[in-house]
Amino acid sequence: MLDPMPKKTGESVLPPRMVAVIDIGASSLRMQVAEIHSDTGAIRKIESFSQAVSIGQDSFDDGKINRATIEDCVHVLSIYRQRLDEYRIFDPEQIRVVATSGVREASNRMVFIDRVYIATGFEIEPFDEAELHRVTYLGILPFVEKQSKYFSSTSLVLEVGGGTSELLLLEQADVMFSNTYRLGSLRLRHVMDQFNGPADKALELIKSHIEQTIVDFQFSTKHAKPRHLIAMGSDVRFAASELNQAPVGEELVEIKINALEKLVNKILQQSPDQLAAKYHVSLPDAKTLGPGLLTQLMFAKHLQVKKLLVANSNLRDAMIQEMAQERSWTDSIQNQIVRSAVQLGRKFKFNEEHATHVGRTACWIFDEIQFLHRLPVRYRRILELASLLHEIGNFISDKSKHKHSMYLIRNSDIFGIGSQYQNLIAMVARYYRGAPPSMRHDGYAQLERHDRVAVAKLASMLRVAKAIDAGHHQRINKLNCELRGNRLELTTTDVADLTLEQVELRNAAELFEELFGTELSLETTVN
Amino acid sequence: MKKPKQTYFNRELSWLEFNQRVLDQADTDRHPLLERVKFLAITASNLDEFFMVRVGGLKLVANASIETPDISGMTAEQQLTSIRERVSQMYLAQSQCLTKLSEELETHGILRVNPQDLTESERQTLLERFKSETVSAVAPIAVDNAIQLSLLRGARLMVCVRLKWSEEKMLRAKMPPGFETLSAEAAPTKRSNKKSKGASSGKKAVAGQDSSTPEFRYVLLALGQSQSRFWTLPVEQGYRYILIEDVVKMFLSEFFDPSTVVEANTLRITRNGDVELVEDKRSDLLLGMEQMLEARQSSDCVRLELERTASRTMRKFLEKTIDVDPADVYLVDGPLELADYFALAGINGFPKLNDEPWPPQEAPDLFGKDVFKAISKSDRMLYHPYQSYDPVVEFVKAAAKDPEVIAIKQTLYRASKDSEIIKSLMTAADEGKNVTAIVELKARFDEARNIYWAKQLEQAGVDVIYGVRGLKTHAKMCLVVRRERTGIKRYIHLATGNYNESTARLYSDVSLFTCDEQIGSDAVHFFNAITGLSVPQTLVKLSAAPINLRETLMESIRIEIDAANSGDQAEITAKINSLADKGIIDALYEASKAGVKVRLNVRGICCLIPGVKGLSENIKVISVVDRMLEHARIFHFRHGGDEKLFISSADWMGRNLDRRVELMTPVLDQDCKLRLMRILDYYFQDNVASTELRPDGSYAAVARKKKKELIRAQSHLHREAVQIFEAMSNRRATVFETYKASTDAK
Repeated sequence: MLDPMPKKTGESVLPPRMVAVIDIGASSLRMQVAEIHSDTGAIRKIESFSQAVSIGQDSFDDGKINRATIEDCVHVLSIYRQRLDEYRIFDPEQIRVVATSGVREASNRMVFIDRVYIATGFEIEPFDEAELHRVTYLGILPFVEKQSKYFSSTSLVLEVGGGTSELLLLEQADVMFSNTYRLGSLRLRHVMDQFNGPADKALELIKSHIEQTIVDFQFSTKHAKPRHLIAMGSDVRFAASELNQAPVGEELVEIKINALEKLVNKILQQSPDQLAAKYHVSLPDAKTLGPGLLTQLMFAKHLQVKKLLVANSNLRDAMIQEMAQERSWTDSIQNQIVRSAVQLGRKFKFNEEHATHVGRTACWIFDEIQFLHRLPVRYRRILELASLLHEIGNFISDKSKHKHSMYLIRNSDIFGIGSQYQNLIAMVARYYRGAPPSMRHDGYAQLERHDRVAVAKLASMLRVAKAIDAGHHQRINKLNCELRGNRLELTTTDVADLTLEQVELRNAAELFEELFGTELSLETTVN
Repeated sequence: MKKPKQTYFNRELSWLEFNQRVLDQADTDRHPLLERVKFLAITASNLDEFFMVRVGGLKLVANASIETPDISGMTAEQQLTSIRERVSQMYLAQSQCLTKLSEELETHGILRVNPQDLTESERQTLLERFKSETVSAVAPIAVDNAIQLSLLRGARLMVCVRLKWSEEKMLRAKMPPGFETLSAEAAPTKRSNKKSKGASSGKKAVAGQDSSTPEFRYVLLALGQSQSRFWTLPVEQGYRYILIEDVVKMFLSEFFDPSTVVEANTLRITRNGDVELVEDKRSDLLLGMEQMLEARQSSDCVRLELERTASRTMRKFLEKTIDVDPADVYLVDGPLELADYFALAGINGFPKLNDEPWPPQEAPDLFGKDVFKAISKSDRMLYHPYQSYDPVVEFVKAAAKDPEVIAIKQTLYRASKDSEIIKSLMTAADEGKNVTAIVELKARFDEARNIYWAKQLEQAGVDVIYGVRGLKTHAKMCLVVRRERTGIKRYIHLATGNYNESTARLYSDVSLFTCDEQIGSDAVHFFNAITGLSVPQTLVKLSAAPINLRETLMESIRIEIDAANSGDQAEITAKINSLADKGIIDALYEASKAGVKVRLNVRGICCLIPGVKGLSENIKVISVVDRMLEHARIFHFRHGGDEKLFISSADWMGRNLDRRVELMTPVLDQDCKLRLMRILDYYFQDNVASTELRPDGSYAAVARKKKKELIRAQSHLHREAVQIFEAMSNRRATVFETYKASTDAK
């Protein structure tokens, strides 16, 4: 079903903003065009496209995308570009193009990305697994709000894609565990096709692959037993509409495991050609139907749930939601990310009270001096996470602990944070102390100019925030900020003696003062 | 027609019964005389297409020795035998009908003149015209004892002249330029090849003659299609005419030494029109279609119509040379090619012999000043031809000129010769809008026109798609995408009939204008699918063949069956052109058994047998053949009181549901729904033009109770359209426009 046309609430201030998301998947190239109504924030889907391509097949079989497939993709993307031109969607800020495992795993992915850019002007964003988790969770959130009964205990979200399967374990809607497994419907189909033997043996073979993933999942989650299984992906949406004789709408749709099993058995007995003809699906989609649904079925049986809850949510919808938030994260997502960062901090025995306090203070400074730094709001999220994790390097050694923090952050999993963001968080944390950012520093020099500037600004704020909690006692909770001439005055009413903090700030403020051209002071109003 | 335990009627024989019902219109004084002539011409034209397509197809099946029976249990060979028998009766009926009509026309001063009745002055006038117009156009073809099959074009009236063989006289014959002798010595006929394998040559003795010294020679005079069939003769009152074949026979001496002419008879060949493009991976469909059209000109002969006066010798010669099965030779009393009588039916000056005019009614307030604003307020519906087609043209024109419109997407199946809609699409492209047209090149017998339009549109910058590989795009839809202040909005015209302004004056069809959000979204996805931009996506409100139209129909029937089984009221009413799909028929039988009241208004083919106890006693089938061609497909399902109404481009035939791209659209607006239900009911109240199908396959006039008023659905629909027009006009009149003082006067 479509989102309803946004209702008029008096005179709209601005016309809706048109956006598009292109998802370069393992077996198809999909595009969603939508309108975002700036006054209400409502999203209206306008048009969706899907074209079958064999990126995943190439990538999983040969390790690279064949030239013919690249050209097929270029052809399809050129057509998509024309459609966007028709809607006058020209600004790159209006368009997001992401590629998942099919491209990610190809050895010639850079050639692919460059060729697409040259031919169509589309810039493909690197989109890694952690970001996929964030977007998947975002896709689930509307159901959390609407059908909370399914999220009051433990639930598992399973999305089976062409190349990978993504799992999110939720406890009262909070993410407890997230992982991506190299178990995809297209990969499984490849196993079946490559097997030189009877069909039932090929089936056994892919079942063993799925079972192995289930074992891995059990191990990682300490044999969690979620009560509900929420299924996502085009294969399971097809199954739901087939079994319920209606397309999946805006609520979770139940399908009984018995009915699903019958359908899966029926599908596995037919060739992809027969399936394509019978169900009017493309051949690549027909190929993945059986393995994709079998994966869902086996997980359901393992969890001993009687029904599958099918969510009509996909990567593109969730990304459009993010675009509606100006690419920032919603509070719900940020909460999940912070939870994950705190878990990471605990793993490395961080001082949670101090880190949280520094994070809070840093964000306060960010908000107060917006007029000075002029950074988009998404950088506030980075600052918060860098502040939380800035001292985890202590776990390794007190010596060069900021550098240890950097590589620990870089090489850990934080829910919802992609490698690009993760690197920025690591860099900000790295500069919480020591020498200011320098082009001689590895990592910093490789950043884009705007990111280098942002890292420096954020690090300067982190240094100030850390100085304010120099005693690690969280003494200062109330602050006031005022710009007087060329001097930014921070005042507090919490404590009378600020000697320790002022001494710390004298060193810590250096970077801040250089970057913003203002002096910084910390005073108290307590006599 | 019905055999014991028969569950389905044969489709071909059912079609022939439909043609008989059309012929019956020519035989009833319910229609004015010239309209009856038109009905007679329609039957001939219909029969031509039937032979080209259906008989042609059956022959291909029979020749391939495929013995799989159809749903009625008949093999192709058995069907051909039954068709020949029924068509022979029909020829007789047509001839008798023409005789009767000619007699009646004569009483009104419309007279066919025989050559012997001409005055000398008339004869001289005709001779002059013959010499100036015809001699150079008839292209005599001297036929040797065999003929290369491909050189005789189908669907053309010809005169075959048998001449006594005399070399000396032949040499002295006054043959016009272009005279040519054809011989098939190097190209033996297909039939002779097939039947007499090993024959040394195609040059064989014909009808017992010695090939080396033939007794007779034959010459074919092909009457050019540019030549008028009816030659007007001077008269003070009324209309006198002579047929061109009579003129040609009269002046044979212009070609031959009269002493050599033995006989001259008219004939007509029908070629297999079931020649379709084999859609391989070729990229140039346009070129392929042009080649296919050429190929159709020389395909197998499926019918030879020959004047009954022809001698056995001539008939045998023609059978052999044209390579036609003797069973497919029809000896006809009177003139051939009765489709030409459309021209006679259209002569001016006899208003009493024509129908009273039913001009299409305008819909003054349908759109008001702003087409898009009007559709935004509520769905709009028209029932053509009682209501004018102009608003449809206006819709496309408005879209072409509107600066806010960013795209127009249009299907075209059979456009008219001078299509305003196509011109508007070209204008839109010129205005920089993104225009996509799906021009179905495979629309049978309209291929050439569609190729022409496709080229024109392409030149104008329209993105032309030549339909879908392996499927004919029969859906009727125009989608307009507009950028408005509140965002993108789509306006859709959906119809049961083609975008053809000419046929829209004769065909009954529904037009629906809507901007329903979900229908708009479905329409976009439907277009993306058929233009190859995207794989088909789930359609929510629209149903499309061959994706989910059949499933939606079956589901709708199933709901009625379930309702009936639960003891609830259940009803299905459908107006369609043909019903031949086994799956749908079986579902309707099941519905009948469950107690669903099924009312079917099927204009043409109906393979369902109604009124059979234990099978279909709850099914009633009527057929309305009247002044306007019934063409609208409207379906109504009671759906527990939440009436579901649909309009569709699809008939209930396998080809429509499985092998064509079709659409079925729900009608959601309450007013439109009520009107459609009323329209459906009118036909079932008809006791003038409606006939009811009986279990034995015959159609009987609907029983009329004594003193019951005569109800003619089409007349009723016309009156309703007039009333709507008047109501709209009156409403408009109540909007007062005041005169204001001009600024100059201040």
